[in-house]
Amino acid sequence: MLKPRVIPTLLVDGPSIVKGANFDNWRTVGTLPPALNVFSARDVDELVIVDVRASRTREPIDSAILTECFGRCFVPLTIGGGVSDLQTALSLFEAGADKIIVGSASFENPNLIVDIVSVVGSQSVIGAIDVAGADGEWRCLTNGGTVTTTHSPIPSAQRLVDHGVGEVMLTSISRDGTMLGYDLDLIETMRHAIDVPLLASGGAGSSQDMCDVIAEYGADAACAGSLFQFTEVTPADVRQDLFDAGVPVRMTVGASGRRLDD
Amino acid sequence: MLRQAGIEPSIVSSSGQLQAFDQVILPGVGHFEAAMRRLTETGLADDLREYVATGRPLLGICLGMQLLSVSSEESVDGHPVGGLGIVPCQVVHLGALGCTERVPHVGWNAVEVTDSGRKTFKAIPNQADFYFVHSYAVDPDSIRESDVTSYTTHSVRFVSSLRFGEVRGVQFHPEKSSHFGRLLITTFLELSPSC
Repeated sequence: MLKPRVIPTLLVDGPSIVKGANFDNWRTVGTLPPALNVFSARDVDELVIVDVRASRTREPIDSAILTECFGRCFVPLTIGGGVSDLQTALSLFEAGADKIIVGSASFENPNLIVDIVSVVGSQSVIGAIDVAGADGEWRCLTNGGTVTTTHSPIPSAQRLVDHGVGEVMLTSISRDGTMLGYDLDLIETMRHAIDVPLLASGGAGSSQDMCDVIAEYGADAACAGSLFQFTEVTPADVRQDLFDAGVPVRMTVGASGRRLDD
Repeated sequence: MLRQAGIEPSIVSSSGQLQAFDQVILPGVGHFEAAMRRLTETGLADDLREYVATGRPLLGICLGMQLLSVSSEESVDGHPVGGLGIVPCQVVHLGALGCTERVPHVGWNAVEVTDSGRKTFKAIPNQADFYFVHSYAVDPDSIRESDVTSYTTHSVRFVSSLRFGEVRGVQFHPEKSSHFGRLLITTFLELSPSC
C-alpha cells in the first residue's frame, strides 16, 4: 500500500539556504550542495526545494545551480519558486526536476497549470497554497507571502485541482519557521475538501507533529524545514515513530544495513 | 545513477542512432499523447521498434513503459491513443480499474514480485517500496499473466512491471527509488549481450 512521505523542505535564495519565520526575516544559514549530500545520505522519501527569492520577485530560479545538485540525489526532487510561465516550468524539468510547484502564478493566470499539465502530466505538478491567519480566518498570500489576496484557501485549492494539479502543498505562513506545530484546523478542513494527495507544511516542531498530521489528520505527506535543519530529529526518526505507531512506512535499508522493520 | 554503476550513457533524440547501442532505456515523465507525437515525428518510434526486433534489451520507465503498449487512454480528449505496440497490453486511467484511493498515485509503494519477475528483481526483497508517480497504468486484464513481473496495489491491483522477451518495463522510477532502484538498474545493465 501507498506509504506516507516524510519530506525535508529546503528554502533557498540562489545557492544559499535561508531560514525565516512567517515568511520573513530571512537569513542565510548554509549552501545547497552539502545539504543535498546530507539528505541523500539520509535516504529521504522526497525533497522539496523552494527558491523564496524567486517567489518574491518572480524571477526564474537559476537552473544551473540545480543541475549541479540533481546528480547527487536519487530520490524525487520537487522544485518551486516564482514559476510563472510554461517556459520556466519546462526548463526546470530539463534541469532535472521530477515535480514542480506552481503557487502565486496560478492566481493570476488560471490557464498556466492547464498548459503545463498538458505537456508534463498532472503527476508532475504540485499546486501551492500559502495561507496566513488562524481559527478559520484564512487568506491566501502570494509572492512569497508579500501580497495579501482576498482568496480563501479551500476554493483556491479546489480550483487548482480542477486545473489538473496532481498534489496540493498547503503551507501555513503563520506557523512557518516557528516550530509550534502545523495549523491542524487548516489541514483538516483542506483534507475534507480535496481528493488529490495533500502535503502539510509550515510549523513542524517535532516528530510527533509529523506523525499526527499523517496518522490523525490524513495528510499524505508531512514537510519540515527548520525541524530537520536545526534540531537532531532526522527523517528516519520520524519514519521510525510512524512505524511504531502502526503506520506503514517505506521499506529502506538503514545505514547499518538493517531494514526498518527488522 | 548509471554513471555510479560505471556506465556512460548517451542521450539519443533523433532517428538513425539507436542501432549502435547494446541497451536502451526509454525514460518517461509526461503525457502519453504528447510523447507519442514526438517519438513519431522524430522517427524514434520506428527506430525503437526496429531495435527491439533485433532482440536487444530495452527498459521502459514510467511513461516509457506505458509507451510500449498498444494504446493508452491518456490523451487531451480521452480517446485512446496508439502506442509503440511493442508489448501486447493496454494503458488505462487508474480510476478505470476501480481505484478508490487518490489519483495520481504518488509516493512509495510495494511491489509484489511474480515468478516471472525473479530475475528482474534479483537481490531485492519482495514487497520492497519503489517511487511511483502516475495516474495511468497497464490494465492487468489486458496483458498475458506470464508477462507480468510485478503487481502493485493502490486500492486496485495494477501491473507495476512487465517483461516481454528482452523488453522490460517498470511503472515506478528506479532512478528515484534509492537503494532498491539502484539494484534494479544494475541488474538490467548486467543483461548486455557483451557481458
